[in-house]
Amino acid sequence: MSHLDCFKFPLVLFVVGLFASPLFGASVVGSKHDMSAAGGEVCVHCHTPHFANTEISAPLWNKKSQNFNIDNPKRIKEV
Amino acid sequence: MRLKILFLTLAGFSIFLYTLVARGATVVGSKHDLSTPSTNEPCAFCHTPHFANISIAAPLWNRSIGNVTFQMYSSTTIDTTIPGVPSGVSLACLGCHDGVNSANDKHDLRNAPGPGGMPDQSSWPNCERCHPEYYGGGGPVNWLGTDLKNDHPISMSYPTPAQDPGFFTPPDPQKGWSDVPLYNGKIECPSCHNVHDPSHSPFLRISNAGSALCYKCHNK
Repeated sequence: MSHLDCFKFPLVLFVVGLFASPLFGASVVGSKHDMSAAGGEVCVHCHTPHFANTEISAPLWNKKSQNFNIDNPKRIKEV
Repeated sequence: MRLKILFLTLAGFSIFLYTLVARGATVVGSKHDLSTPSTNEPCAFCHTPHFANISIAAPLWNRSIGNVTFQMYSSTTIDTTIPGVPSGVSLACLGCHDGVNSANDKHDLRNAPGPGGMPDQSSWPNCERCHPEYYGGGGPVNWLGTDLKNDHPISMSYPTPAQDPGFFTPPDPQKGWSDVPLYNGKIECPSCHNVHDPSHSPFLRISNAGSALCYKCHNK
């Protein structure tokens, strides 16, 4: 390992670590659950600060109640 | 020619300033401006320089709130304690937005505007501000009702990092952020809403593009 490589390796680790940190990794932003268009609101696709659906015990839920078919969880019906 | 360019530049700058200061950041002309040509004091519909209601923690509050019982938000996952009743400045908001006209708290001011006073219920044109549905102005105002279970919790202390690491830490634990304030360390309605500035509808403190207002607190 050359002198340069010794310097590079921790630098690469640091950069990878930065991307894995909460600043980048632990956010819904950019994930498959981020349904926003560019610059749009992220949270609103699941949550709302007012008039939430209290039938569902998820915090401030912004979707209607659903009929789940246990046998086929992909078949979800809005009521 | 030079003078003309200078004049046009100055005129453009003045219009820009007007848009920035005089137009955007004011309650005048907004949905919270309840004044009318006959009662043309926008401030008086919420504030009074004398005889204010000191039982509500809003500056020189000119209204009352009826003796109503609220049902508060609850959650099995929340890591801070939500009090049983709303408190602080939120009571000023709920005085109108609970939608309950208890003891005429909706229509009567503590100290009506003008010499001799004029209760705002006699200044009928401002009915439209709170009842736009009767004037072809779309749906009713955001009445939250007394059931606040489906609304974001208020009047609870902002969680410490030890209580919930899913929240960003404000620069001042009592006053919060400069643009998203806490009130004695608590979340209240005006933490998210700037009642005097309609720039970011509905009276939001900052633009919620990219959910920026949510992400001020929530680290998700």
